Amino acid sequence: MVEYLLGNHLVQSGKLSAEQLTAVISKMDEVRVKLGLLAVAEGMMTIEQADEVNRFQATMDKRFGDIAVEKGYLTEEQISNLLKKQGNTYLAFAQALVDENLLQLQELEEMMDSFQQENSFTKSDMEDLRSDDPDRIVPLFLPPEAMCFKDITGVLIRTMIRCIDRHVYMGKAELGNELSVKESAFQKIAAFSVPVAGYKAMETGLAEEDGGLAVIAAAYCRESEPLEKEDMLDAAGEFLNCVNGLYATSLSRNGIDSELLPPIFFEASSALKDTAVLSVPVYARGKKAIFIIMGQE
Amino acid sequence: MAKILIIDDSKMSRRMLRTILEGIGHDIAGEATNGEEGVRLYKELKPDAVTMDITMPEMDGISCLKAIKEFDEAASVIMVTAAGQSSKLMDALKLGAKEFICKPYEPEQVINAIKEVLKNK
Repeated sequence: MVEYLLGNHLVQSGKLSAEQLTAVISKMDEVRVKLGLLAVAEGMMTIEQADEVNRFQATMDKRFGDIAVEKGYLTEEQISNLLKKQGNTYLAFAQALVDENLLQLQELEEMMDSFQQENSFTKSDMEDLRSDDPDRIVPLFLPPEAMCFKDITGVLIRTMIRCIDRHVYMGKAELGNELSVKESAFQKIAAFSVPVAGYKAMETGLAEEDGGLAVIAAAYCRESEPLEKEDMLDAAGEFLNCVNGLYATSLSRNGIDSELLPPIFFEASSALKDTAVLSVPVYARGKKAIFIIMGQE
Repeated sequence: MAKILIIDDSKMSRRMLRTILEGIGHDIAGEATNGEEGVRLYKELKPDAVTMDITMPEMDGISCLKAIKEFDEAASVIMVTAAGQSSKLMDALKLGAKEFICKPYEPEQVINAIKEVLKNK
């Protein structure tokens, strides 16, 4: 996430063009290897073990390394060494900018300072950002009164990174009671056996904003061409079902049962109203969609 | 080549499964968009294997599986569902579902599950 959050700031400040940012991120992709592949290449895991961990990732919202440790395939120390080899995203971004002669490190640090000021981030927030860990970054973009939704937002971001675009990022979320959205897909997570953050049920949605929903839908279905609107909403509903399912699994581990209802779709704009409506801008391949969470009493 | 019935309310999910299964030479005998249609098509087409979503309107995947198993005890059914349905998945396995795949899945997982259920045919 940090590469786009900071990269967009560089573009807006006139330090980079949008094309240069895309080129830098492509360069990062060329050198970054997935953790599982790295573990196999280092002889720490077999291909079968890595495949098994990947399969487990589809059923639970956990990181590759955490599952591999739980299953006894890797130790914490091995994970730590692999992560060092894989490299920190922020450092890789900085390295790519310097390698391409687009920015010197001193300039980058100055831009980090202006980014911090612009977003009213603290030093600790900036450390969280540099970590590129979604668990640490998501809370920076939620209003304090919406922290009860950080877990499900975290599940969305991690699932998007895994299934849609590893460079996904988010914007500042807003909490209210009403929201107007363009075409959208929604799914209700109903009947919590124990209220979650005071809510008896939640409904999540994904709405189009600036091409982001189209990107999410096509990437989820592994389609290279844009989908027709009806198919796009259907695919977005399926993706939402995966996100909500992973969230429901995490609730279930804490003894909270729930039920996922079939997704519903709105082909035209709609006005939402509920006790709490959180809108989270999410960007896939640089295109914006809105993730919506509605808490229901 | 086996005859496979896909039961899923999502058109895109059916399309993804069709692409994977046809890609390894299987014949998609039919597609159903809810449980009721699934039961009707199973009786009509008598497929070698079924892929079954759980969360569907009208009749869900569990009720559909039960009805299919009452008609054909040997039916080979693979549940294809999002995570978070563990209690329903347990119900499905008790009712005789032979495999399950969690969405989002890799094509290899579908291919392996189909191979596994067809092995016993």
